[in-house]
Amino acid sequence: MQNKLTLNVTPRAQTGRSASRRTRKAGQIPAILYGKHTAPETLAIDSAEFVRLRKSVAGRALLIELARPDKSDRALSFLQEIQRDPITDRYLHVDLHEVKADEKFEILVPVQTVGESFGVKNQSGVLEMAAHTLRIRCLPKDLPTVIPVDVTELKVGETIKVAELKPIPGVEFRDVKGQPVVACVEPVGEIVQEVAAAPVEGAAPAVGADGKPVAPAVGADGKPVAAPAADGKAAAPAAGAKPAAAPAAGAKPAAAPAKK
Amino acid sequence: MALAPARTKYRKSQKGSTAGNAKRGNVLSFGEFGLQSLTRGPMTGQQIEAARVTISRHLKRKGKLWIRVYPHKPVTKKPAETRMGSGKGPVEYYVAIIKPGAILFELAGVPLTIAKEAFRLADAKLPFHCRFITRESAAA
Repeated sequence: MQNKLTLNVTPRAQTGRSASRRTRKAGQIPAILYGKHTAPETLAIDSAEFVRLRKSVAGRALLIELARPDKSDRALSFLQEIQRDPITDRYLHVDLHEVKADEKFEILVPVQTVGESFGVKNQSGVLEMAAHTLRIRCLPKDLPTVIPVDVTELKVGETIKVAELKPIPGVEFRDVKGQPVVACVEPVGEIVQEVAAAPVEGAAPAVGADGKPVAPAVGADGKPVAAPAADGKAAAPAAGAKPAAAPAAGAKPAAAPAKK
Repeated sequence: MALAPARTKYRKSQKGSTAGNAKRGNVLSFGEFGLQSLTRGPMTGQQIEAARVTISRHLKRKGKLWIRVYPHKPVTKKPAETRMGSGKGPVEYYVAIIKPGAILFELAGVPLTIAKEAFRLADAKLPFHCRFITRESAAA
């Protein structure tokens, strides 16, 4: 059984954009508490207290007891959704999902890798997290803070799927059994194109229509898009023609003679 | 080679607006670390490529990089010494419209210090103020 955190909340009478802005200006975060057996309740949380709570949660799945001044009982809940300003990182709104101690519920729990992968250690592989969180169903007393995934035996090219995870007592995985969780993949290194892009003696250097040298043809994945031909007759992208020449069929050539 | 769409539905587009903040693509979705723009403007395919090459070279065949932006928007330019009129000029290059909050690159499988330095070098290639973000900082 994990330790629970406590959060002081106050009821919030007004709703809507203006009221929410006033709430935020007063140093509070608008929130809502809802659940299967209770009517939705609009709340306000002290901003500083919520920041402290989030730091103590530290990305784990934890249950939170809500202390309300108007009610004697404490509502058991978890953080369903947190809205933040992507630039200022300010908390905008919090969704709290109420659960009952004797009833199973679904929650997203973060995945935590354990150990160092064989592929990373000996084969220069890269550990790729295919799923950062997993959906589980359990009783509140069985809720794990994280889902540990042992990756020590994972070699390059291998994947750990949901069905291969070590079972946790009282926890039921709700994701598709074939869904990958962690994979060890080969690193996608940059293919150096300096040699290929160097001008061949006697051949015209790869220059664009504007006379400027053209960068080597490398795709987003680091692989060459098309090998530049020495005679300059290669396809438009590699030869350095303007992008307009490449795309739509029937498009006018980019280097159309200008009218004067 | 700068990034450009293989084919487009329409050859040329209007200038459009860059107002507002990024409403999508503003959270870390794949990697552990990210480079987030704090200002706005067009980002050309060449700039994306320059930043990608910088990051890849610093990583030295380690880690995994995600490019979260793509230059979909064509930008036209009239040829030099051309009189005004006679229609819109030919497409010169393609850009991605970046708004504050947009995640440009994501990285995984490398230590924090290497990721930070790689993104710092890539930031120098970009016409935006950017910041380095981590999954942990987003959770706290």
